[in-house]
Amino acid sequence: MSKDPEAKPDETPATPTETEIRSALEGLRRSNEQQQRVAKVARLLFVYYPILVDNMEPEDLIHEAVVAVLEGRRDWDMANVDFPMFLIGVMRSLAYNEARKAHETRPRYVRESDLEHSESSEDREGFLASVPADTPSPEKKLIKDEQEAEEDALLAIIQAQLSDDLDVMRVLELELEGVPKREIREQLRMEDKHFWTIDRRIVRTFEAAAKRRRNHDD
Amino acid sequence: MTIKPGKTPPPDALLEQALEFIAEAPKEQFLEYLKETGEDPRELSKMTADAVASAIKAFGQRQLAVARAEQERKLTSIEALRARISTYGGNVRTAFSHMVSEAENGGYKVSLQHRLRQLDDLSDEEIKAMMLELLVVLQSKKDENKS
Repeated sequence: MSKDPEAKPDETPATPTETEIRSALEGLRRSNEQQQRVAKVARLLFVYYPILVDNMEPEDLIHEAVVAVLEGRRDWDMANVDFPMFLIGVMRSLAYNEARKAHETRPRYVRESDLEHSESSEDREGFLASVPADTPSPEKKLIKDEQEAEEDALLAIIQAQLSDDLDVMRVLELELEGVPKREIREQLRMEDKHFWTIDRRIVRTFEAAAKRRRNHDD
Repeated sequence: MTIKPGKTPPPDALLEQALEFIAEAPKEQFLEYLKETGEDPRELSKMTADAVASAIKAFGQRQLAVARAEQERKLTSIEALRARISTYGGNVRTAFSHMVSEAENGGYKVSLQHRLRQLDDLSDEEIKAMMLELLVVLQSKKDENKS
């Protein structure tokens, strides 16, 4: 779906006109395959950010992304990025922002006994008086710690399920480092078909683990 | 596995890779993945098609609302100008000539048609209509300069 990866990005990409955006949307309308890819991305983002269901459905995410693009709120470097890839990036960004907002506004019950206090209760007043304003509250720290523990657990499950295949583990390691897929293929000297089959297994395992985490949170 | 400061957390990195797979994997790999994850391709196509159609419609409606608001603003502005003209007392011909001179002094070019008209041949109402026309043009020029 991407264009020539060797092409150097223009310094000032031309802003696409509304006509060009509408033409790209027409192209999306005509391609079942591209529509399926966009919808699958929306569903995966809802698996990964389950809190999104508080306010929207996967189709709403696609809707909002298209409106944002039509209103010119997102810059599309049309010379270097194909439209579906661009739209997927917009959806990912919107999902991240919506999930962050939902986490900030959703009321959350935290047991007093789970909070970490460095001072005894008798010294609490003096302790609070000495806390700088930007220090995370015990509640925020607990929530952050829990999130990190969840992320570690998710990764451990994925690694355990893929550990039977050395090639898969090598690809996974590089993907975790953020190495682009093209470079991974070159670095590991893998045939395209072999690489994509491995990558498919990693993605499937990731999605299944994220689904289990979501169901556990429910 | 330890995470270096500033690096993407591992699950986020995997999400990025998964999105890239969905966007770029060869068709047969993508379709196999849909099958493995229990997705109905037709349902997915319809989901995107419906969402895109509703987004285009919503965008069109918003554009229409903006255009209507702009039209409303212009009409209100014209009404205000008309009210201003109705307050001119005395000779409308003199007032009109004065208005043309003011516009020219302000750096606007007023067409010869306006300057050469035989004002005496026109009725007061016709001159008021010309005054309104001139004021509307000047107003829109000012709006253009502001934006």
